[in-house]
Amino acid sequence: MASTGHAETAHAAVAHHAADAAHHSDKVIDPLHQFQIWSILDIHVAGFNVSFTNSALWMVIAAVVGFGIMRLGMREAELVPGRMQNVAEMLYGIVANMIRDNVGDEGKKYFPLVFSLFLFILFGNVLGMIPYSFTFTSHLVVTFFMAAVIFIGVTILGVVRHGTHFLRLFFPEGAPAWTAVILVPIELVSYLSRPVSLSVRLFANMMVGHTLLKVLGGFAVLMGAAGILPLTLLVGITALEFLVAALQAYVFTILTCIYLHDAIHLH
Amino acid sequence: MSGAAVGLRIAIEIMAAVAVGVGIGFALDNWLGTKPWMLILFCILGFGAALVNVMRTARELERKRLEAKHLAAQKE
Repeated sequence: MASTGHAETAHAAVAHHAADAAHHSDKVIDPLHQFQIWSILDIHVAGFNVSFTNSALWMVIAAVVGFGIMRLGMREAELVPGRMQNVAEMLYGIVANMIRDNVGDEGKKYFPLVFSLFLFILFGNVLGMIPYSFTFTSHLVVTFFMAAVIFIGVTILGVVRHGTHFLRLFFPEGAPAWTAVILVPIELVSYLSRPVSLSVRLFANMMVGHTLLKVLGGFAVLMGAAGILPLTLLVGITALEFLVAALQAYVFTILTCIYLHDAIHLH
Repeated sequence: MSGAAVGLRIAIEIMAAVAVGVGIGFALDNWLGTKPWMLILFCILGFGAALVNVMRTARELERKRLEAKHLAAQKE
């Protein structure tokens, strides 16, 4: 009893000391502060909080920048493309190739959806690399909402196209009938896990990277002259983060294409 | 894709399938009042689905690797 009491006081003393240190020092390191959402314009509709937040602001910026770049690039189409036209054509080419390779010719109908999705996520990720900006893709709500919309849309598409035949997706062809008891629930859980893995992948990659950047930045500040070490590391990690930002937008879109393919062709 | 990226991808596939399995089991238990049987059943099914997911991902990555190798060989 005495020993636990002692431990508790010691613990309290340490906590008190830490709080004191944090209070007195102006170099407080809080790597998770960047994910905080605050309201820019308070709006309440019928008891729901639909305020315009910093997250919403950066979504609008991402959409406007994506739209603006495409608009600028296509303003005057020249045979020898200028800089902006090159960017627009490259972005178009990436998504067009992706749809052709992963969905096939029927996928062309869904190009506008997939392309806007790609641009939105890409600019959300890349604009999040600007210091003091906000990365809305580092929030699970945002990524899960996008993944859920895709999942529900693709499922409806499959059911409309194939009717009850769509259920073949849950049972591999050629397997003995009695294995359906095990295979169908497993395939069902596997199918339902798609939006979860799709959203968590984007969210986890963005959040981990941004937290790592801030943690290393904190080290660079706290270590004084030796802070040059984490600072050099930070340069490399920043470059890596740009790669991750582009790659994760690409992966999210390519998986959307694969799900579309499954709904249209049933494996 | 680097080794770490592949690892993270596979880890997320496993996590998602098990989480969905546990979620379904929990919801069914609450609904049917069969605590804890549905949770146990769907935990196992979730792990099964995780294995299916991992196998599919691995197969896809392998296919991509071979395609890239094939393309590189063609260019030479």
